[in-house]
Amino acid sequence: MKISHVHIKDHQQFKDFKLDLTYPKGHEKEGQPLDKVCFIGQSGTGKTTLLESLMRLNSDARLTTMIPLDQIEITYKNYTDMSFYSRGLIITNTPSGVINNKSFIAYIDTSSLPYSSSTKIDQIKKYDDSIEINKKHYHKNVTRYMNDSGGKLDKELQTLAELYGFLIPVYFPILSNKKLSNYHGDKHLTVNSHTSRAFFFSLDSYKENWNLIKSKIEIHQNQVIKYNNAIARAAIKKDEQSMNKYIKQLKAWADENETPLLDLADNYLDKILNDFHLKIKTELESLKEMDSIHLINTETLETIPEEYWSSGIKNIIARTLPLYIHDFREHLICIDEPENSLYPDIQRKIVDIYTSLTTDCQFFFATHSPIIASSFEPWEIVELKFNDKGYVYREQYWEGENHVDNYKYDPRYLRWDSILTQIFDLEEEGGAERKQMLQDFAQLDNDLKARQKAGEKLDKNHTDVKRLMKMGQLLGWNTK
Amino acid sequence: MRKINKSCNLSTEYKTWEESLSIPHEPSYYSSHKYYIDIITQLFHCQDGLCAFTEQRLCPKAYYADHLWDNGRYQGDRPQFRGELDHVNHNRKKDEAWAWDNFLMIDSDVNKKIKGKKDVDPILIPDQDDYDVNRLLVYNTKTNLFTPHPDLTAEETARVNELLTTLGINWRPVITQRKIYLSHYFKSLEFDSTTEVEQFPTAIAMRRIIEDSTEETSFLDTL
Repeated sequence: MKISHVHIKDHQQFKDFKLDLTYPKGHEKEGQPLDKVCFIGQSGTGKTTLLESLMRLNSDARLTTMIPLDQIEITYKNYTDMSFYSRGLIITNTPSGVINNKSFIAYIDTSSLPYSSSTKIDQIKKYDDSIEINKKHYHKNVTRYMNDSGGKLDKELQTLAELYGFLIPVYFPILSNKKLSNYHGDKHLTVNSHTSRAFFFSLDSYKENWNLIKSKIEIHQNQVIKYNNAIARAAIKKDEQSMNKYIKQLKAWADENETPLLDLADNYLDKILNDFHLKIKTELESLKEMDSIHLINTETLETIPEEYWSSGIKNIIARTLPLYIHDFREHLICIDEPENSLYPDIQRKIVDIYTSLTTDCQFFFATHSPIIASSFEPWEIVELKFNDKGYVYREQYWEGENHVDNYKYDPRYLRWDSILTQIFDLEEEGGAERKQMLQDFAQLDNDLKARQKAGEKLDKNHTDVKRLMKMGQLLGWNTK
Repeated sequence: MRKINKSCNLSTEYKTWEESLSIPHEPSYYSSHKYYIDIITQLFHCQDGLCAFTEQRLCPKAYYADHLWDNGRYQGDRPQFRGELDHVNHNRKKDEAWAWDNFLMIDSDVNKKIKGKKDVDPILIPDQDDYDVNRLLVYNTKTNLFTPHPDLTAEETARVNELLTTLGINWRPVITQRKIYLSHYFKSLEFDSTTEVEQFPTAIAMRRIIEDSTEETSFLDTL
């Protein structure tokens, strides 16, 4: 299940703001919700507000910038048509998603359902009377059902139960050392909390996530110890048959259960850390080394203690550990400013890395980085701009019909500087000094051409020619 | 940028009315005035639909064809364009709001973000009698910038340099559009020698002169 449309009715800079988040015509996934979305736009246009408002779809968390519940509608597409209407989940049996009384099947007040929701599905009650869809009537636990689906009720509810687990959003706010609990002011919402039926991961959640991995490692080690003890006992008894049996069992178990630390290193973190000439230390020499991840410099083989990690390393680890631990499948994942503290060559890879670590998730990013933006297809970019009245609108990248052939920009094929000028609307290609030097270069260049034409002898040793060459060099051209 | 012959030969009813006005003009300027479209279309006719300073196309030719005027009034559809009617000398707007000789159509972004209400030195205003772009400017194909002509005096060079910025002629978004258009234009000439110049005619004409005279794009290329 993925988000296909968002409609914000009237909230601060948003007025009747609609987003179509589906693939355009001519795309192999035409009409399906986008796998990933990148919000760009100048500060204040509402990128973070949008990310945080998407969190409300299954969360009672109160982030400071969230749009009021009655001002946002989020539509989903998959399996059956479902929409979030204010605090409720609406299921319809019409493929178009148009909701009317006849198509209406169920309305569920999601705010009262727990994180593990499937157990509460049986609390959905059946109502024989019809319902006005737009009537906001919130009951605890549920709500209303109009029996328009005949014997399909159980099947629909089963589908709902299956789908409900997919609705849990995952949020990576801008990374800082600020406590998340300070950030949103919800005393019930702790770092990496499940209590709000959403995941929140900030920089300070690293330790908590590591402890979860540590538990996995301990469980793994205990299992290995059990097998080793059984093998040892059989060896003492000289029971070769039992010994071979346990060795065979251990081998089969080990083949299916990779050491968690090795799995984390090989399949997740080392892929990224390799660019920093680092890797995870997988052979631990003492129990003390279990207190944290230990990194090794691949060149010097020296161990890098946690306190010496760079901000970039910390950010990557803080964001990758949750993806490893929770193995997210069909979740909504929001990442604010993924470029934070990362060198450009890492930024180029980070979107692909994060998306490759999950299964069928829908990603929403908010960024100011042209390099991050270049990881997206043009229809996946939502550029927010202010109109003359100060309201936000989405810049349209296509001309005529919304078809893949009609898009005028494609950040995947542009140079970084062209992305800045064409997508991010940066009006100058450099600072005031570059602008002045370009003007000076052009003027001297034209002057020298005129003097040469008039018969003046000018060679590389002439002062003005040297000056022109120096200016060209400073402007980044090969003038040798 | 190229010289503009600002003869008001089509919207003649407006021109007669404008000449009858005493100073200060009554009414003061407002864009829903009955002659507003007559002024705009007449200006586009004089400027061939281009920005007077940057030479970006602002209006399709179909909106200012001769046959759209009858009895001194514009009779065509309201033009679709992206420019703004500019009072070149902003100080005259208060008392001479409808003065034909103070009007030009210019690019909206240039007007909003660059020119605004700044005083404009007439040396680079293209409807002046003694205006000659080839005496004032040279196009540099290496940088895609216009520069003051090397033969200008130091004082003239300084004035022109300031205007190249104030009028948006060397503003980066304009430079980028000019660079892209010239590149496409000269490429299309290789396949179709009758390709029409749709915008940036001065840069194209100057680049043609450079190429015809086999000059290199930069002096450095001659070394």
